[in-house]
Parts: sequence; C-alpha cells; structure tokens
Amino acid sequence: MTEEPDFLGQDSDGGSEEVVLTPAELIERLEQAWMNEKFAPELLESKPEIVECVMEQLEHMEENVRRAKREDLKVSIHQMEMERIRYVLSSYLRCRLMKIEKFFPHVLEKEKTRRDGEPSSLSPEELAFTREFMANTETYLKNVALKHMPPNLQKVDLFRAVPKPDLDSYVFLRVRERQENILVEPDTDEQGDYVIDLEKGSQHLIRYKTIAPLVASGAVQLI
Amino acid sequence: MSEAYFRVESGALGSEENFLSLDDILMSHEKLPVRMETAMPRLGAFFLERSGGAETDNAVPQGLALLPRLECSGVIWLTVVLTSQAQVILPSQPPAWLRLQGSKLELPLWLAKGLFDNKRRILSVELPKIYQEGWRTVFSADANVVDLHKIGPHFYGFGSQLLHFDSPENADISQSLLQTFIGRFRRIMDSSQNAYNEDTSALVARLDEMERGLFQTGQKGLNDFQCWEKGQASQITVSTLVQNYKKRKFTDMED
Repeated sequence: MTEEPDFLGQDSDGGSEEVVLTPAELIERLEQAWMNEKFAPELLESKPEIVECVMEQLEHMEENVRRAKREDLKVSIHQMEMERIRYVLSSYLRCRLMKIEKFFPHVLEKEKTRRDGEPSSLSPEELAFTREFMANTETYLKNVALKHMPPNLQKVDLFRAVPKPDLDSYVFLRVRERQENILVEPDTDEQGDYVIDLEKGSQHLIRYKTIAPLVASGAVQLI
Repeated sequence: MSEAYFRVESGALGSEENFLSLDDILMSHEKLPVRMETAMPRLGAFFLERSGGAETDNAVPQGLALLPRLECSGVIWLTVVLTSQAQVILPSQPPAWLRLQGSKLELPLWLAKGLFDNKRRILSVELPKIYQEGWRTVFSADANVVDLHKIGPHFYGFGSQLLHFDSPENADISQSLLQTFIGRFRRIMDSSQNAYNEDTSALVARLDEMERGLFQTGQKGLNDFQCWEKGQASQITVSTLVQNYKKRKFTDMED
C-alpha cells in the first residue's frame, strides 16, 4: 500500500494544518482514523483535514494516471491503489453516518452543549444531515402513529427513547505511546479501583470509557 | 455486506431496556408472579384476567402493552383505569370488585416494573422458579443440557431486568446468569461457525432468544466469509427491503 508513484514526489499541504505530511503518512492517518471510527462505540471527532487532503490526493493521482502513457502495469497498479484509498475513505464516512443515524438525538445534544474551544464531532454537512434526519423522523412518527393516539400520549421524547451509545463496551487496543497511571474501574463491587501503566506496543482489552481521551489524542489505536 | 436497515437491538442485558427495541417489548411481556400490598378498589376485573384466564388474554393485553411505551410510568395508572373500565362491560367476568391486600397475581414485567416502588407500597415481587435456588443449582451443575427455550424464551434478558426489583438474591442471580452463559457459549460458537448450508433447527431448538441471536450472527459471519471466498462479495444483490415487492405490470400502472 505504501507504493509511491514516481511522478508524485511532492508533499501534500492541507489547508488548515501547518504540518507537512507525505502522502504515505496521510494514508496511514486515514487508516488509523478509519479503524478507530469502526471500533469505537460512539461518534469520534470529525477529521475534515484528513478527508480533504485525501480527496485532493486522489484527484492528483487521477490526473497523473490520465497523463501517463498507456503502460498497462503501472497504470493499473495506480488505479488499484486509487480504488483502495477511495474504499477506505468512503467506508470511514459510511461508518460515521451509521453512527449518526443510530444516535442522532444524543449527537445533536452533544453538539448543542459543546463549548467553543472543543473540536466538533460533526462536519457542517453532517450537522445539516443530522438535523434533517431528526426532523424527518419526528414528522414520520407523528404522521404514522402519534396523531392517532389520545391527546395526552402524543409526545415521544426521542432523547430518552433512542438508546445512548454504550461507553462501557469493551474494545481491543494497541498502545502507541507509553501511558502511565490509567485509573481502571472494576466491573464488580468486590474489586477496588486500580491503576495500570500502558507499555508501548502492548495490546489490551479494556472498557472504552477508560481510554476514550487517549483515543481522541491518538495515543492508542483501536484494533 | 452492509445492511439496508439497522434494527434497534435489545438493551435488556444492560441497565435498562431500549424503548424502541421490538425484542425488548416481547421480552417484557413475560409474566412475573407478584403479590399486591395495597388494596385496589374496582380493578379486580382487570387483574383477574391478568392472572391467567385463557380466553381473555387477547383482548386487553395487546393494546395495553403499547400504551405505557408512550409516557413515563406515571401515566400507567391512567391507562390501567381507562382500559379496566372498558372491560367491565363484558358480561362473562365475575365481578371481583375489591382486590384484597396480599393476593397473588401474575403481571407482565413492564407493568410490574412500572408499579414497583422502592418504598414497596404497591407490589412485592416474587422471583419465578427458574431464578431460584433449585434451578440455580441445576445450572451450575451443567448448563448445556437445559432447554432454555422451554423454560422461558427470554431467560437472560428477563433475568437481567429482574435485578431491578432489589431482591436479596440479586448477587446470586447475576452470578448464575453469567455462569450459565459461560457454560453454554462455547457450544453455540462452535456450532454456529461450523454449520454451513445445513438445517440448523436441531442446534437452535434449546437456545433462548438471546443465544439464537448470537447463533444467527455467527451464521451470518460464516456465510459472508464463504461468499467472499467465492468472489461473490462484490456482486450486487437485491436489498432485503425490496425483495418481496412484486414487479408491477405496465397494464397495472396505467390504471
């Protein structure tokens, strides 16, 4: 996957970030974001810079492929690589959409109560989508069922009805940076809280709630 | 193979059931033996049907099952009163006007949960037999031979929700549920991963609903993998949501 095409020697420069990434690093970041999103029980931060950069890269690669001579092997290998990157990107976006559809009242609530400094978990398009989805669901429920019910029963509180993301579910993770003093709360009442250190390169099965901030900062990778 | 439609899964094994989950609605309709602590004037006719009259089971419960879903438990009383008054018209019910204190009934779980209060003014719940000492020792002896479908198709879900009723045996019940599942899990995983293209009814007959769901997930994973190996994974197939639609004839559309 890290095949670098000869005529794509430049580094990519995202719009809002100062760090210059090689295309290989960009794809690696995309894959990490993709895996984290797939295995996390809740919607993670949106990464608009990665998505934009990858789209740019794909366009460059398409142009280059069109310009190149019709040498079958090189062109078809690059086309395969483009297909793979496109699949990863669309799978990442699909996973986010699925989580938005599943937890839409909670996602909207989180967005409303978010303070200004914190990063958003929804891109602007996703926010518009969520709002429309909620409006459509409410209208649908009202027209199909609720307006035929007795008047005092005509409200459904979607925030309470739709299940919350289960932050207590267990996830597998691999540690990328050494962490110390992670407080682990026990399942049963008999064990007390205890503190563990995470060694670099080790793999664990742990509750998502305990390591959620580490996933956001990139110190661990969900597998 | 991505799904066209995501069902709301059962939350019964967690802290609280999911409002929109069909599995939870079915599960909480199972009956629970209960003892009334306060008298309930004029609700005797309603509750008499609930304690297991055969022919009356269809009339009230279905509609009543849906109503509490729409509001918090405060309104259950209102719906109970409304429907009981509707029922009083039926001539075949013996008029048991006053429900005396201490009488035993069988209520569905959702009703029992709604009426249960920590100060125990209204109900006191007795555990069903399968969650009591006798059956717990059976499960600890060998969990694999028990027919969980027969003794209660929602064994795990119902048992997990029973823990809400603050019985002194809660710790034992939860341990027993956990150990039963651990004992049975290996066989389920094994059989679901190795039964390809076969009739699985014999394997699934003794499993309860949650285990059946697990079995089906395993089967689906196996089928998807075999599909991928044969190279059929990228074939576009008809979505399950529209598979049953018949083709409209041109002549029909002209009407």
